Amino acid sequence: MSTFRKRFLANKTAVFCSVLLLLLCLTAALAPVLAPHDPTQMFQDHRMEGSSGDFLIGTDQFGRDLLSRIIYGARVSLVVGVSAVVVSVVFGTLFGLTAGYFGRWVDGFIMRCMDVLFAFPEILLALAIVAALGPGTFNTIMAIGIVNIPIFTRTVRGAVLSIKNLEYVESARAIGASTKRIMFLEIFPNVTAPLLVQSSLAISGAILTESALSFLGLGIQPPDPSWGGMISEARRYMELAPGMIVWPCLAMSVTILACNMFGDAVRDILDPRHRGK
Amino acid sequence: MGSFLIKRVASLIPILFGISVLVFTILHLVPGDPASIMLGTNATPEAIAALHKSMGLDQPLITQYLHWIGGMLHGNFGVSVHSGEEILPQILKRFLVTLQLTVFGVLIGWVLAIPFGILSAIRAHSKTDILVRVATLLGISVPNFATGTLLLLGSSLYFNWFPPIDVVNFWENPVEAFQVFVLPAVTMGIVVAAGVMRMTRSAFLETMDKDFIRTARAKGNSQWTIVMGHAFRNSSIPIVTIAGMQIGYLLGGSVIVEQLFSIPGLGQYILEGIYQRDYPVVQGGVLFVALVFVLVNLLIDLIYTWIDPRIKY
Repeated sequence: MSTFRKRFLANKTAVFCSVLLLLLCLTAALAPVLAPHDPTQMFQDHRMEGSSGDFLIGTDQFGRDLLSRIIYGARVSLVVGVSAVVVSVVFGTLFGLTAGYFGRWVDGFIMRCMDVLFAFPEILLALAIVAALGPGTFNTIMAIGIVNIPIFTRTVRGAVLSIKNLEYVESARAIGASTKRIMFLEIFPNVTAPLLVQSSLAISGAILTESALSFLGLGIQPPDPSWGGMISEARRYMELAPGMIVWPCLAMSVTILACNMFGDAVRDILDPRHRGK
Repeated sequence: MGSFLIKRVASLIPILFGISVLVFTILHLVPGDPASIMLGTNATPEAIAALHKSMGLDQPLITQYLHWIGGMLHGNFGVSVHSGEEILPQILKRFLVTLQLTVFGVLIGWVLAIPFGILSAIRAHSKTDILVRVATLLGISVPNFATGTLLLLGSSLYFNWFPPIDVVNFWENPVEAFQVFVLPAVTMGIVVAAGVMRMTRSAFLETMDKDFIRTARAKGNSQWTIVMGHAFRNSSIPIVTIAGMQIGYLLGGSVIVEQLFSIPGLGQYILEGIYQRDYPVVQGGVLFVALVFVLVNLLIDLIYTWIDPRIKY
């Protein structure tokens, strides 16, 4: 792990992005302390105002403080993004380990199921699942999580295939280790690097899908603040109060950009093929 | 080639079967009785019973599935619960609109992406390269509905211009069609450009390192001949892959762009179906898009063998 830490600290992008993401996580966690107002409180006399001492980046059509809503929106984005990826990682790892380790028809069956999920454009599958389950935070997490399962299954399966015939696995089998032990204690630890890379790349996609679903009114439901939902609401007032659109767009883009750059950096550090390029 | 085609098409059968099961399941995942949810709270028990009967909801699941898939195979996608219209003609009509939008988007994306991607690769680590890479990262990171909304905002604030709402056929009235499609197509094009540019750059970087490029250089070929004559074809496999994936992505991702710009395409049709809980419309639309997606992927595989005759299946 120490070489990983050394490489990580030597990579300026990785350090910069992790500081940025850490700040974002802190903002989300400390939202009640940092936000100047309640994100749902309506100041009826201050609708669609520009920036002022009381409302640093202005207010929306109901007189709610934009800054507070963006801070609480960070919470929603991160919670949904991370939880969705956790769902995909758990199921993807289970399916991938099983498919890769057992091979034959088990592999064939699992991978054909994944091909079916792959046959839908991401956002459409997420929409279809939400359409069936209904909107809301939990269902949004499940929908995004399910959509990403195939990517993780493929990643893990590929890694397992390259590992499962190595000598150390063979020797574990020779000393009579159980299948469960071989899968989770011998093989799994060696799958974590590609899993980590894939997860850090998937979080930005999950945040993007969440905001897209919320933008369409099928994700996080009002009055809970979500960046996608805020942009959608703001469209009607865009000429009167452009800030209502610009700020959430900025917050979302910076977050996704940081996640993407962080993911790329982690891949560069962990993947020998990308090293030194 | 012939046997490859047969094998490739045969491998689609289980996938198509899986897709149909998944799409069929959507309706049955709905918590509660689908018929009463579709008809809303004011529906009479008679109306609900009638819908049950007409959709066959009172029969066992297997029978329902066989009935449904049988209809689909005969091109009978059923009727909309909301409007009573046949679904398939609507899907086809709206798909044409989505297709026009996708073609415009892809063209804009490729025209931007390929030259800049190549430039960025052959001048790696130059200022141009850094600029292209920053643009790529931005294109990937800014969500398309944010780009689209900002484009609308910009055009109305600075040029006081809004795209016309009536969608017209490109072949009938190109000028107006251009006005309708320009902003949504640019919105799509930016996302396409970012992905293709990234792939073009990395593919070319790898190819330009190869021995045959060094040989071509040693023979005294111009940079243009080397890039266009030697490197281009050898770099195009990953580019075609990503381009194909994006066409599928656009056909599905157009949901957002169509909703944002009020374009009556297939994406908007599916979305309206979701809003109105018109599940036959949702099922038909989603199934149609998945089929198109699968066909696009098949086409990409065929294009591979044409680009690189060394690929034999």
